[in-house]
Amino acid sequence: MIFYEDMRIKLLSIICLLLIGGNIKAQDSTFINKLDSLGGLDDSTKAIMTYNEGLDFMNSKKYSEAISKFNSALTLNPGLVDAKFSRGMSYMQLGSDDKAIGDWQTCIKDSASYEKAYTEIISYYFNKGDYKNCKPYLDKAKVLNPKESKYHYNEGVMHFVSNNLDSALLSYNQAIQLNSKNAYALNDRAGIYVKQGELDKAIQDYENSVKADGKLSFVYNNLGSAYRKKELYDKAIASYTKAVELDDKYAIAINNRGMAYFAKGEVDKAKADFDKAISLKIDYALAYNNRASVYIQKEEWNLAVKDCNRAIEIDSEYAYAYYNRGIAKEMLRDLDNACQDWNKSYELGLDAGKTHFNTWCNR
Amino acid sequence: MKKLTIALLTLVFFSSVYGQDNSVPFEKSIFKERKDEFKIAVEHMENAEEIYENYPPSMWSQAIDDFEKAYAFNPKNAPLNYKLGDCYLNSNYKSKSLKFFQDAYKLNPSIQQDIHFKLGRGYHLSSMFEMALKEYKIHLTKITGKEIEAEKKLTNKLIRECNTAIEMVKNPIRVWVDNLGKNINSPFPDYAAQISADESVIIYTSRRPSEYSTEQIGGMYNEDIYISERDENWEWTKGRLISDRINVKDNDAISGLSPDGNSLFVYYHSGKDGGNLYQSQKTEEGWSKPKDLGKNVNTNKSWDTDASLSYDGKRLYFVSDKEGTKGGRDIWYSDWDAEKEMWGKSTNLGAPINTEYDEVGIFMHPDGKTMYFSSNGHKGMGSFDIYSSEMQADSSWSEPVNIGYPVSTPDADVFFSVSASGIHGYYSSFREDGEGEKDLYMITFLGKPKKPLLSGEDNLIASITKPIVEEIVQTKLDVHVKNLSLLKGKVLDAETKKPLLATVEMSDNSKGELLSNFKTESESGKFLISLPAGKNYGIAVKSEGYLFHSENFDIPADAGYQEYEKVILMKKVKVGESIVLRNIFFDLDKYELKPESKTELDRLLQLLIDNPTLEIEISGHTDTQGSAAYNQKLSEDRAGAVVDFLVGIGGIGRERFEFKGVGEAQPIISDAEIAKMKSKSQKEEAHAQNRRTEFKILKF
Repeated sequence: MIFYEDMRIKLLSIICLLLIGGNIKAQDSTFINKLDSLGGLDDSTKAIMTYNEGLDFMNSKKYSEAISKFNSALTLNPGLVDAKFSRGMSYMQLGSDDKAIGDWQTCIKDSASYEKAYTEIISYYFNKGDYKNCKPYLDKAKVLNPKESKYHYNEGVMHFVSNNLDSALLSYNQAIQLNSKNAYALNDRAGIYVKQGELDKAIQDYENSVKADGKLSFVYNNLGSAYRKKELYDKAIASYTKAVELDDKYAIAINNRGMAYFAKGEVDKAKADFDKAISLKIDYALAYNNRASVYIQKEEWNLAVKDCNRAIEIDSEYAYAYYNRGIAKEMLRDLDNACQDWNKSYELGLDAGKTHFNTWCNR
Repeated sequence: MKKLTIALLTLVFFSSVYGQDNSVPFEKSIFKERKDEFKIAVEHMENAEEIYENYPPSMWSQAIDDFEKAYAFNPKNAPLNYKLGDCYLNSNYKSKSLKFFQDAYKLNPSIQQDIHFKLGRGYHLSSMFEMALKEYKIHLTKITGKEIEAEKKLTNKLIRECNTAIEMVKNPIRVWVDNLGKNINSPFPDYAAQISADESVIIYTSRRPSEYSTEQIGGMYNEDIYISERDENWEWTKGRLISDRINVKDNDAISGLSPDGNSLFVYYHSGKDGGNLYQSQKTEEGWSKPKDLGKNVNTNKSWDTDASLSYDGKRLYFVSDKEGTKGGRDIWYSDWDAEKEMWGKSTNLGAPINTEYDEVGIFMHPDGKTMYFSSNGHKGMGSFDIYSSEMQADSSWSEPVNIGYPVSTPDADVFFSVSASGIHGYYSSFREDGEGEKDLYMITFLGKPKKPLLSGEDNLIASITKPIVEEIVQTKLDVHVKNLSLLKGKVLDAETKKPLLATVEMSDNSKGELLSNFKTESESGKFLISLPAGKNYGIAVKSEGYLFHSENFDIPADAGYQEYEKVILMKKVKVGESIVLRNIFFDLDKYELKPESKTELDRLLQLLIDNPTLEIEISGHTDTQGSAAYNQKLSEDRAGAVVDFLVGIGGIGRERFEFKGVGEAQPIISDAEIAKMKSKSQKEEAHAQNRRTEFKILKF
């Protein structure tokens, strides 16, 4: 009898280990019930088994059923952190963000080193742009796993967004040091270099980023802009074109390519790109303003005014559009309105508007 | 009948001498069928020939009508075509000459030895420069006669002008050219516009009929001076004769106008031997009778014509062909001798302004350093072009620069004045769409094309889908504008608000020197002064029986163009009145007087000397930056420093002074008002207004 008892315990132990390993599926619950009937499973084991059933529902996108199973598992074993974590994941899928965050926070409370919960909370706040709430979790996650590149990347983004470029650079450096193929970090660090005017370094990073992941259209776009700023217009156009090949609806890259053509003096090609960008994005104020610039270059003043008007209708705070409309109106000899536009562009932060206003509108 | 014979003989002579032509001579036998018309045509020929043969080319335009009538009868006569071309070449319609020279040449390639030169002129003045070059070059191979060197020199000059013109036309300047309209222009020649610095007054010469010009002489009415002002809508009022003190039966022509529009230079013709310059001032009774500028400017038997004053009124630039010229008419200058109250000995401006040819139409810009003039001796498109030159730090003049096509043209471009801002130029031009003959036009200099601003955006942050719009790049703009400020003021009695006749003194505070002084218009109390950039100006307005009023304008060298308008209320000298001394300067947090304060202190000292019974209080005021206690002490020390100067240096008894520090207690602009201001510069300006030294009359 003692032997039999020992054997039973050993057998159950093996089953539990297998369950925890996730090797037994929910449909095997009949088998588990049979095992239970052999002498009864303890709650802890039953909780694991129920949790596994919940996972199956979750993977089948049956989140309500999954939550129900996770609840049962947690009734059986309130300390089953994985069940709380997965319930949180299911809540998130159902749009119950607060419940999801609550579950993950409990996970951390129960197990301070439960990294998955940190990761999810960080992602949640990060994607929402709520960096204030994100930061404490990120700081702890970094302590838990300082070798994780993505945490440094996230930190870099938070600094970048708050325009703390030096700190952002340090974080991105760390992220890239830990993973030299972190295409996102390479892209972002290049962005900082662009802002700092270090275009050669930016180009280097963008090129490494597209080597690490050649499917990122936005990196090609950014690379194009770096070339454009260096007045390497042919390279810029080639890079924008690659971005558009990867994503033919990428209005930003098409608009930017138009700017490169404009700078190169190929105004008709520029116009074709601005036309295309507008057709892809009907409320694209930048493209209207840029097409107005083409019209100004071609001395088609009325068309320029029309496009500036559209840009201003879309974005009434768009200083460039007022400034350009001022130029077109001046050439239409409507100096009063040109002056008003230049003044408005100055009020919106464009010094060039003030210069023209002072020069032409003194009377 | 005798005249007819001469005309026929002349035409036959042309035909027979140069022969081998397809020209149809004016011969009775050829026009047997059109006897009557022939007779009339010959009469026209006769009339035109009379002028063509006996008068200088400047009169030939009067022959055009008759030649044209003869031409209508027989357009195939080569000599007639040649002569008609010649007449047009010497008229306002120069480019019309080309067709007639071309036809003359076609009818008879040997019509005249200089036909290629004339064809060159026709092409040149029609802006067909390549063709003109070709003809001039052919002419060079055909020059014969006594004047061979002079003619070669002239032709080579014209070739150079064509080459220059080709380059200039490739790089035109951007301008708008606007006719000044019927209120200014007439069907008769209107030219020589002179504009006040603020463009509110235009004075010009016109050859329209008037009570002073009732008859045409040589096909033209005499010159008269006209004036027009801007109305409240900034439109020109109808041009009118300027004044019976200035307009005369003979020619009177405008030569120059001071920047404030209150001093006028007039040219009066004095017979065959030349003409002289005169000056008229705007007074309470209107324009004064013009006074001869004196022997140092005007000389007998010379043409002393165009004149222009420097911005401070201390130097007169003028045009003369008097002895000492580098060739033809040159630009000269003369400085005002304050002691003798006359213009001093004149000096030829020399190279690089004057050349062996003519320099005319001088205009000194109110910026104090830019000169505009016309010349046929500098690198140009032909005839007179317009040039500018800038005074260098060592007072020499820079190499003149052609103002550019289409303001400069192959024709004569003379008399050019520029607004203080540098944006507008005024000149006369003959254009088909004008009011007739020469008209006055306003040029608007557009400068280089304004570059439009484009925007792009990038996904600089990979994990954020929202793109980042390119930051606004604050590029420095190329703006065609003068570095100059105009101060337009009106001086009124503080109590009655009536205009006052006052003196406006302009000082350079950094040098402590009085630059110039101007009188206000007594009728309106208005004044206008030019403040070229790069100086700290002290402006003091004085009027008898009133306390002086001071203003400060510290204008950086790159300030661009600005206009200030001030109404200055003058306070009578009486107990309790106070004024702000705007030209007393201290270093930050210090109470030692800066040297720039000297002119203002001298003014105050003079007031005390002139009024020995005057007792005053000097008070110092600070802004609210810093602690109240600190400001209180600082203001007291500063007031004390002013008194110490007046006592120690000025020798005024200390008993005539009280001084006190007010600190920040009595601001002109309150902190609450400053807080509402949007820009940092507005706020700083407000604080600056609050930092001041005042004086108040305690006893008088």
